[in-house]
Amino acid sequence: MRHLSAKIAIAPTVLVTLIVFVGCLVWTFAISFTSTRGVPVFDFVGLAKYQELWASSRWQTSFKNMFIFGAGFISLSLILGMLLAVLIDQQVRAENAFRTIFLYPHALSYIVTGLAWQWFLNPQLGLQKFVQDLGWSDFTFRVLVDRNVAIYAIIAAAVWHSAGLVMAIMLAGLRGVDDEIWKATKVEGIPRWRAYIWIILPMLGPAMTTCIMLLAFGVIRNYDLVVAMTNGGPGTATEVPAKFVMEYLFERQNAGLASAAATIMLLSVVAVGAPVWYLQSWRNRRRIAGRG
Amino acid sequence: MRLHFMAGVCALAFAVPGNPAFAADSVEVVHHLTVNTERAAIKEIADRFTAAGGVWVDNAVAGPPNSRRVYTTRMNAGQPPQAYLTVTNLDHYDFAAQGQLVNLDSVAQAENWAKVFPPEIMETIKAPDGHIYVAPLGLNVPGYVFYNKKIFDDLGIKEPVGFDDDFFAALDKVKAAGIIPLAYSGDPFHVRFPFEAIMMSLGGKDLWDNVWRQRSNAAIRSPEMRKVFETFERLRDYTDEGSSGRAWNLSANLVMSGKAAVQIMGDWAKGEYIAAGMVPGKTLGCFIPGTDDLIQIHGEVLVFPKQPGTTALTPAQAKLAAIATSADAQTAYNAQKRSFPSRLDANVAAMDPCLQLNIDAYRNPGHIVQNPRSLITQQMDGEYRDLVNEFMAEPEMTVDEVVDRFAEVLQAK
Repeated sequence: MRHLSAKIAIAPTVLVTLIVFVGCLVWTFAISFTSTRGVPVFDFVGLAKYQELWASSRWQTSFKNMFIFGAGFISLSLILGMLLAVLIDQQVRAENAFRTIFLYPHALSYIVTGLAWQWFLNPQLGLQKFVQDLGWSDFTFRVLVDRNVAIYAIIAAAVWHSAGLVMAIMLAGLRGVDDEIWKATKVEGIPRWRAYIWIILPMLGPAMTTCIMLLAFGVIRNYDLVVAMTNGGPGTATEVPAKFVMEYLFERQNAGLASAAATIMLLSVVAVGAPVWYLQSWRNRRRIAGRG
Repeated sequence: MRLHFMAGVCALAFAVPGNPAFAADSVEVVHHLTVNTERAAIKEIADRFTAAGGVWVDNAVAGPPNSRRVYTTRMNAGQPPQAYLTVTNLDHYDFAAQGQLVNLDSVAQAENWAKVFPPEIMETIKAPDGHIYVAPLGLNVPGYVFYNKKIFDDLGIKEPVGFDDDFFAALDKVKAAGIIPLAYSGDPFHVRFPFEAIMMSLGGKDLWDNVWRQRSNAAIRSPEMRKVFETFERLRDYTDEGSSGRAWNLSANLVMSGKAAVQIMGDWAKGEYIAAGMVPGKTLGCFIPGTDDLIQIHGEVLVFPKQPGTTALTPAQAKLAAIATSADAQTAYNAQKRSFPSRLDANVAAMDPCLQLNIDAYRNPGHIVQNPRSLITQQMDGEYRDLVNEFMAEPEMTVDEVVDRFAEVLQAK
């Protein structure tokens, strides 16, 4: 057999992936059709759990928040990360220092980030009190306690955390751009900012895709940041699906409902990711066909 | 050579870690008692168990939701701990129905529990099949009112009785003096303390029973229940901006430092107040709101999962159940934890004035009510708390709306 040792080496990973990922996925999907509460019970109740799920106002808010958070977080992280990468790419002095500083937030866990931001945004402990003490006693900064705006505070904390990562990946991509291209833009007399937007950025397609994927995982996984910052509050304004699943699975002892919620989350990811993936592979096929 | 190396790697990879074999009289206890006072309390029971020849294996997990995750997953995985500690709830119904618990009838018989525990407790510790599965330890009063006595004395405010106009008049006076009237913690976990306290004090035993046990539509939509929601909403004007999602010990801090006057919290907060130097009765005021002095059964309990290979209590489990519910252990445990014993005959002479209030009410028949979490499922409990939390955070929500949704959440009949 060809590559036998390679196949043996990779066999454990394949087994683990099959059993753990795929197997657990199928199990969760199956449980969402049962009336399981705390202990698994395999009776078939059809779509009852899904109906219960969509009737819950908390789930509707969570689902909506996932998209608001996702859109804001991914777009802002990309823009800010790209901007930082471009700025650092300008051959500034102390480039290493800047890179380290911008990448530092990513080393913190979401819990630390959430707690620090909560203290910062708390009207009585943080920024509002600080500015009021300085003299501007009318200053209000009630972002975290206002129901309509709290989700944007969470986006801000998440962007602060992840912009550094986007910057690092984009910077690596930028550094990979051939010097010839820069020389060509100079010869043609194209201003730098134009060159960045119309020429360099499109070349960073793979790097951008990597960033979007990593950020998208962060959106789906977003649980600890919300718990640390607002615990879903004020009211249910900042609830997210991951928090819904965790609470209904453990504290509220309704594994059927939690599995239904988790399945919906998976379907959302597939619904958004599949077209992007197909677009990429269609583009690749066209490119290969064009060359050959 | 390469073959030997591969064989060695395979042997290592397939070596079964296995469950460390416990001695027959060792008991692993999963619990959430991680705060200083709580650790000292559980140590009292552990010490007595060790002195009686048992081996105590401690498995402390911070936070009841987290310890619940640990013992639930362990039990479902087939590696149950020998005992777990939890707070009053209905978990044991599901587990007992699935045959995952051992009943404590033999211990209850031998130790004569029916005589030393009030009938309401006996009701809570059974499952629908009539067997006893739960060993009660200590009790706390969830909807307790703490107040900074110095602020009240300075402003000339008398201790209010319940949540009627005298309470709000007192809060108005505090507000006029520029101090935060109510140190409120706004999230689904904490919202039940003020809400249920208001419900007990305004509605009494009948409303409590009709809403939580009978879940009757008529009771939920009755004027008394509406008044409960309206009174709860009135609290909103007396809270401060930072109350959303604030942990209870930070709210307690506000009362301790004189920045706020009142906190409605479980009486376990007393440990924090005492640690900060406040003296119950002198600088710290405390009272059970309402004229009925109702005590909700809320406390720690020990439950014993069935061990693989046997359907009865192991001797170690039986020993622990007997020791934990003995009068001497209960006095020691509760003295450290600042809660009060569930046993009627435990010695309580050394407990502080705030606790004596609770104990007097508890030992007087007719003051005990069931914990909603013993009557409704965890999901209903979580959803009603979500709802009340939302109600407090959204001034536009009307009482009609919240009553409708409350009836839905409880699946009112």
